[in-house]
Amino acid sequence: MNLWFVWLEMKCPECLERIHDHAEECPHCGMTLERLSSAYEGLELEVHDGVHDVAGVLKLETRKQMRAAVKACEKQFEGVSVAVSFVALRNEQTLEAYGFYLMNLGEFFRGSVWQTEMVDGRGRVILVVDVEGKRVGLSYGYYFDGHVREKENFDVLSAGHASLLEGEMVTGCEQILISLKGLLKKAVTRANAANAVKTKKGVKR
Amino acid sequence: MKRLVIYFFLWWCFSGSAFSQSARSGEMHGSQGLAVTEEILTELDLPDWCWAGAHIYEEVERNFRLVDGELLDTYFGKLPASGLNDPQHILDDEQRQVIEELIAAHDMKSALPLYVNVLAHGQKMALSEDDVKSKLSGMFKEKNAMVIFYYYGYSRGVNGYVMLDEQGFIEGWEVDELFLKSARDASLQVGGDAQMESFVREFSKRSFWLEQKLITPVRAEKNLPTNEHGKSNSSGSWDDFMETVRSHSLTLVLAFWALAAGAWYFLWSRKWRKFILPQGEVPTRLGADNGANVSHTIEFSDATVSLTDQYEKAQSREL
Repeated sequence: MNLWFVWLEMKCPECLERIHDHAEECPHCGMTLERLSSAYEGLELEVHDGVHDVAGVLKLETRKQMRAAVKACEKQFEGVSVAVSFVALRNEQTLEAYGFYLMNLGEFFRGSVWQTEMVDGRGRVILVVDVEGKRVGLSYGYYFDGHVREKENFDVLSAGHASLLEGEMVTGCEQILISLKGLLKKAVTRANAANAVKTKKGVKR
Repeated sequence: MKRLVIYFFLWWCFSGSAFSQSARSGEMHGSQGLAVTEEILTELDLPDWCWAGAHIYEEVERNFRLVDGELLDTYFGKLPASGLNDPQHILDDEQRQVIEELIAAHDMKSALPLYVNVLAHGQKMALSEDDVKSKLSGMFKEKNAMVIFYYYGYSRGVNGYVMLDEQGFIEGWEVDELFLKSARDASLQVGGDAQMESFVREFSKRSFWLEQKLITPVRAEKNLPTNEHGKSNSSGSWDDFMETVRSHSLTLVLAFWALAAGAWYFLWSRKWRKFILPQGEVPTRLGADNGANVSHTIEFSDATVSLTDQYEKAQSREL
């Protein structure tokens, strides 16, 4: 099946099997957020100005550069927040599960202001870069369910592939964020359209 | 004997010697005069089959009627606004429109406006050539003009005059050739009713050369100061440019606004437009409050593993 026709699936972040959109735990591996916490305990979860660097790859200058790129990416959106996380995962840890973990348990700050209560986390997108396993992926909040296609997601990540292969993490992430902006525009437009249809149906009833 | 002569006369008429077939109406037109024809026919005791479908009427075109009196005034009165003067209504509406369009197209490009007077084939004016010229001079009052007298149905019988404001009537072999060759070409190209249209078109084309000869271009080359190599300095091109700008100012203003609107829309959609993500209740799963999506990831550990390979791998995983 061509990925263009595939919407981002609801899958278990641990075993990557499909799950129901109301599943309280994974029917395949029994994973829940609570059970996952033990595997990722001890990781720094504070994300400042959209940049999270537990792998320690960013210097002062490149951190600023990364923050500017995040800000530019989310500038045109309301209700959307973007973050980038650099992490060095251990063997038993997976990029998908880590993205899921950070998405739900991360502490997000804008300057010195704690954002977690102020900004709806369901409109968040996190770019996760595993500097050890050399993998990169995106985690989306619930509001993007059914509005992002796998092909689009793949294309966004592909934008930074060449730079990441060269070891230029910051440049690669910047390129991904520029491309992500386009994807978010499409996703938000689709979400608005779906919302309008839902409202129309509600009014009819 | 008398009856034999009459039968011969009728045969002669119907076989086309004295009648002409009009392509426009598809009817037979006599040329001997209505009164004479009727007189002859009444004397005859013709069988009924002779009368079936026969119509007798006078064809004015063939009667060599003199153009005089009030009719003459219609040709030398006011200048026709459209350039076409057909007081006898010889042309039908469609032909009139075509000729007027041709004249308008000519006048747009030429400094010698075209005026076409339509007369019937065989008509004659009750004026000498000098009188015609003096009347035309009074009409045009030292304006540039090319006046054609076209005898409908016989393009080779056309005549006309070319006038220039200061020089008056222009004569010479070029003018004669203009009329003669246009008429010749028109008669060779088409026949019937389209001949006049063809004539006006040919005339308009050929008059270009005459105009080139007679009239100095309005925008003559300027005597620009030259450098030591005899080449003119380039300040003239700026003047030309400014003149072009002035003559197309409305188009330029519209183009500018269209471009500005396009640029504004582009910037608005790319930079300033706000995208608002709708919020509300969504189903949650796996005990997570914010999100539990999993997307495909990309590896960048090995340059030999291409994006295509990774894409195909992702596709096969979906299957």
